[in-house]
Amino acid sequence: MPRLSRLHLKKAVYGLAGLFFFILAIQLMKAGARALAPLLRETSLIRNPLNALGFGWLGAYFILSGSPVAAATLGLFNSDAIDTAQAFMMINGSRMGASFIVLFVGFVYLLRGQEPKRSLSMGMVSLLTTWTTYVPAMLLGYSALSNGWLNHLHFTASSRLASAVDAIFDPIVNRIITLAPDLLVFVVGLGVVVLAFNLIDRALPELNLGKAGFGQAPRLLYRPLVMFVLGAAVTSMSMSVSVSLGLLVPLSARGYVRAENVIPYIMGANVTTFVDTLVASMLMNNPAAFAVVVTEMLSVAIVSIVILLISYRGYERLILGLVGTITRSRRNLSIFLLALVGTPIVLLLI
Amino acid sequence: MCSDGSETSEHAARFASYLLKAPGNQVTLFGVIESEREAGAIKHSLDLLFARLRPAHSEIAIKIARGHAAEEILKEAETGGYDLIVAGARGRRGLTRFLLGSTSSRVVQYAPCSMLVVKRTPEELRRMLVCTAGGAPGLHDVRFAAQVAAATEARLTVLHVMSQIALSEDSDLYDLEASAEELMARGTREGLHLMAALDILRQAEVVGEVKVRHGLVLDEIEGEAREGGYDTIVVGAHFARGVSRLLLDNVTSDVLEKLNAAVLVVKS
Repeated sequence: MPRLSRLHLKKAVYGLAGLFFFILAIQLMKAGARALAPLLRETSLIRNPLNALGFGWLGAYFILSGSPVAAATLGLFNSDAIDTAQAFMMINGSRMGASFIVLFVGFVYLLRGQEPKRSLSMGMVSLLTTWTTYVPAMLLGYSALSNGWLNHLHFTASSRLASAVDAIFDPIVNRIITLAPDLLVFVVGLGVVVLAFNLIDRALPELNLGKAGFGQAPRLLYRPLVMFVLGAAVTSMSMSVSVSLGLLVPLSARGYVRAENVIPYIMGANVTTFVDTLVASMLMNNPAAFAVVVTEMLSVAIVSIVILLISYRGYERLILGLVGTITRSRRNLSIFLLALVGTPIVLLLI
Repeated sequence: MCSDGSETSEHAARFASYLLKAPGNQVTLFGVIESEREAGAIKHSLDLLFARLRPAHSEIAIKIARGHAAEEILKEAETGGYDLIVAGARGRRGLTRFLLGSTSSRVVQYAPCSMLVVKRTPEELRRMLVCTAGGAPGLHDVRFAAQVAAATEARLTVLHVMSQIALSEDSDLYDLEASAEELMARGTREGLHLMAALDILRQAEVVGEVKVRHGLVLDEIEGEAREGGYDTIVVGAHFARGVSRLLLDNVTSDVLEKLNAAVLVVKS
């Protein structure tokens, strides 16, 4: 068999296995959350929206990824362990925590002796872009949910698909439930979703955007909205901001791109990074969960587009100015990192 | 030389006279009447310009058109075979600008030749700044600017802005902070471009230098223009065509809009 076909076959197997485990994880978390819900209510571990924000945020730190935490949030929401506002804030927290992972990788390089600007610039731009758009988006989305602006949204998997999913996965889930204690089922689900995302990552094609007409990207200045759409499109395929940022590397043999181009790209990526959570909400067959995720995506998209259309130049300056200030000295960097770890802990204690 | 009867047209004419030092230049004074209320002022302005330029230039014509300013200027530019359009940037403001667009931006974008847009007039033309993004079009702009600098005995600075940030730990960070001299010494893509620009200045016998700034492109051009006290900023009008036009940002229009200086837009 030619090498290329073998590669495609391997990726297809990874993709199918990833999809299988993703659906299995959702079913496991749905079942496990039912047992977990009374315990969560009794212990008051998640008490209010801010507390939920901190919970999702720290959860992403521990798992080193936001998507599994967002999927787990939907499981908890589906079993009424958390309410709509808490689910919304927890998913937000998972994304805010996930943006730290890009920075964390850079931080490891920094500890190995690399210069802060080399190791942290990209992660810092990504993190600050995410935070500065997600905080206003959080307020907008919270208002939308509180006022029921998107209550009419009802979109779930078709009944035929739902029946097929139940027919395939119910026996497996029931088997696991008989083997593991109720509370452990949710944790097993969380583990399986991490595995699923890992397999999906391996299934993704290695896009070479340089050959697709963007070869001069490091030199040229693209319109912010163009990069926003590109970031959104690429991330909707890769389902990960860090993966889609990694896809920018082949654009430049020298390993850098223009700041003017990368910031709107991250903004676009931050919208479609919720695609997997949206799919999970549809698999839950829960219209309210779907509405929460759509609210999340719409509010981030609206805030990003408003920034791009009204005050993009000032926003660019703000982000790069902050990056410059934080990476200027190890003292500034230490304070910032302390805030990164401290903020979700404080939120969790509220 | 276009006039709408405004003070900025006067500035433009005065500034253009610096560029028209060499004898033998043919000058057309062109006025566009958009509404009858302006007719008197425009005709008066053209007469004044004629009187001012007449002693130095024997071949001066006056033309008047009626209609939309940008469209009429473009029509005249297409048929007249001009080398340079000179106009003042009075600038529409607010809703008018939003609805009709800036006349100078529209002319710059579609004109078949280079254009000088003047917002304020310095005492004399001493310092010019040419902004280059690299490649052959950038060198074309430097060559054009060098010709003007040679004719006016102005000093010319060639500026390249690097706004790139590191994507990965493998990035060649040195380039992201290097000066023009360091980039040239290392023979990087930007360094080679700047060396070629210096060669052009030498060949044109123009006094000048090359500079690299790091930061956002528009901010750094603004910063250099402010700090360097330049009389004229030269930028290329390499407007993309087709799909690329929808994709690429228009730095030239931004420079025209933001900078309170005379901007010479070079057509490739």
